[in-house]
Amino acid sequence: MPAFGTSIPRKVMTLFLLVDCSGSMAVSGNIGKVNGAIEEMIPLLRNISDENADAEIRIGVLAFSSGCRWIGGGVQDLDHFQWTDMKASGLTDMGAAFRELENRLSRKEFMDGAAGNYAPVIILLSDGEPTDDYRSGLAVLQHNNWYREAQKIAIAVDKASIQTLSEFTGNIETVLSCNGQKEDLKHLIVNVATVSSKMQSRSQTAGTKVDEKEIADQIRRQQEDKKKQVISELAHMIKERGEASVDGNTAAEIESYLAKVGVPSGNDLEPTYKGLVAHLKSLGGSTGTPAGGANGTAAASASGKTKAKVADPFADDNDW
Amino acid sequence: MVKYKNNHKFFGGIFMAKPYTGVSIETRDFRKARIIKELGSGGQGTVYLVDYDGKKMALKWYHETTFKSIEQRQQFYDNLCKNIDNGPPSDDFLWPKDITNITHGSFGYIMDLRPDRFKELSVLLVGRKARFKSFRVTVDAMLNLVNAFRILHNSGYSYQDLNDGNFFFDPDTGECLICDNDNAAYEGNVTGILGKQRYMAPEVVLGQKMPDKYTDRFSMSVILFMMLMYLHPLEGEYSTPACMTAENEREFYGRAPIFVFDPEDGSNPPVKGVGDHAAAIWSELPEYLRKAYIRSFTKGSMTFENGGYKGARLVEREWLDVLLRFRNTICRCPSCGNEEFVSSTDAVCAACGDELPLFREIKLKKYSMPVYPGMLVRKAQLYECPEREALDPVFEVVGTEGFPGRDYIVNVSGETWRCITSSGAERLLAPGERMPAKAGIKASVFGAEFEII
Repeated sequence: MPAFGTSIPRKVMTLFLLVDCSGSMAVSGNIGKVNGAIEEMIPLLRNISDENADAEIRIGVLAFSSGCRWIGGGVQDLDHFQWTDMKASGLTDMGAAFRELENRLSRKEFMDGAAGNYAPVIILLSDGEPTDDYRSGLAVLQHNNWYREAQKIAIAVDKASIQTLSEFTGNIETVLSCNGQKEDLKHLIVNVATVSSKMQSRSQTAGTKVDEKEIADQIRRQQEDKKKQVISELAHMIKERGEASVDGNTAAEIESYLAKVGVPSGNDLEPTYKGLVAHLKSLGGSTGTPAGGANGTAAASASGKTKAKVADPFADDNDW
Repeated sequence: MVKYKNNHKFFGGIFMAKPYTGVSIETRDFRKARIIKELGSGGQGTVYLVDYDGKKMALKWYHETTFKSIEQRQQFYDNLCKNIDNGPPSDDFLWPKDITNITHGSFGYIMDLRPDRFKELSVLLVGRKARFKSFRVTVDAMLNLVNAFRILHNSGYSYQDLNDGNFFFDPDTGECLICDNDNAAYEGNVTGILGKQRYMAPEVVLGQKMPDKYTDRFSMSVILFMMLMYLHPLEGEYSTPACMTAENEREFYGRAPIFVFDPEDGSNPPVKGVGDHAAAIWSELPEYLRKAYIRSFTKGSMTFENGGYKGARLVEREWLDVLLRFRNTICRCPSCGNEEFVSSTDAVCAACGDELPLFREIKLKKYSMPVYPGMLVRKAQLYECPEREALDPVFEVVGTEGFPGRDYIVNVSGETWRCITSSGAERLLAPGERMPAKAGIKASVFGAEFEII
């Protein structure tokens, strides 16, 4: 008998990240967020890959500025992923990146999974207008069948032209925009990479293709959910402090509450509002009456603490 | 899938899209489930750890977008209520126990937490985070799975979504736990879930049929093949295009699937360098097991025409027969620990070349098998017992350290056996007692007889 203990052969799903490393990415500080995002997505992707009997995930990062180059030399598997931070300077040669990608999207090059491949995910991230003739590069790429089958998503950072990026994705709905100063770009990139990789590396229900619009929609929805969830939890925390009610549940209201109790607002990037959360936590114990656990009144009475300041004893259970 | 609509509803006093830590949700049984934390999120919903009446349980909360319409949601909800009222078919199922009211566009159901020792089948197949301990444990796991589905199907249900993400096993013992039982429905009822590509029966892929007991059986045989062979039965040279697209999947799993070891069509052999391990195992499998796989994936049993199949898929009882027999041919070499599939006492370890210490055989009604320490004969291997007792042990074989061949048969059946010794005398063997594996001894229990030769 052959010795016991093996792994099932899996197809390969490659995640390509095409990253704009032009000078403006350095000026805005966005390049640091992209580097951070890639470092942090690797263990998450590895986890997704190790639990997926359909496909193994690989990753290729193509940095473009004045010309383009593959970080780590090409497509890498997640176990041996070598990473050096990308530096940003120079132009935005997006067309050069498209041509280079076209050269590599071939079974003889990067798409060499022994048990076959799923169509790749290609994420294009840019913060400005291409400085080269991107249209001719794109025209070449558009003839590549891998590109045609791929799930294509773009992230338009700051002033990037959504119109230009939608020429790459083929659809305006699959361009996600992100204001690097107001929103958490790192979080968004990690989210896009993991959600799209997870969906694209699994076999789907019969005859249905993963729709990139659906991926984009899901990401928008998740960002939105996350935002709402964090805000709701913050509102909940404030309510538990028993001294104020935050009715509208908006970030602005929470900020104004924090200002009122003497905490300055900080770097409150959506959708995780890390600054707000940190500030609220920094307040520590309640200045009013603590209401105990997260389930409010029940925990409060159980722990013997006063419930006098909770106006509506069933506020937390409303409608449940 | 339905497009997301921006219609967040009032949730627990706060505008929310899904439950969050601290919220209490009332169930149909007027109990409360308080959310402690999120455990994970998938395509259909999010699973939370909850405090349910003081006990830690799991809550699966559906994404609002999982349901295509209010009618479908209601249908799904009613089906779950029915399943909860009926109770689990057996302990192998992580069955829904309670359900929340429909509120804020969705609902969830309460179930027990899955103990950590159970690992998802996909994880075990990848083999990086956990893997089955041995061939024998793998076959025990397959047996447990088949037995659970036998009980489920014979209780009138079909599962409708068998895939590598819904089954969990203890990799050390082979115990199984079947999760995601929200798709299980009485025969004739559909939940709108079609299943996962690669595991769906061809007729479901092609839209000729909705999932039912028969399509479950196809999916089950795919899983039984993958667990043992570490290869998908329909993925070979012909069906491995450079890029697997949705159209390709429809072709290779639906319109024109070809078994990698189809004896009548050699056009889809395992890809060299990818399926070598599977090919090596296949060549070692006993004929009856190969036949079972061939019958499962022959073109006939993958062709649904005029309301019927051209070939018959194996029912669970047939799989039990095949796997119980196979389980007791997996013998571990005492010298090097390698596992061999043995069909007679004349066997050599392929790894170290040692002769295996097999001296006697046990003759059952239809076949005989070599005796070796570690074999375990269960009720269904001897006679037609009630379903729930099918895997109950009847006897096991223990060896003697330092004395190869001095094996004993231990009565673990709970019943007294009537035996005839090698000298022809009548003798009883009480539960817990043992007898030597000596040629000529005959025994009978549960109306079945066996003999040592």
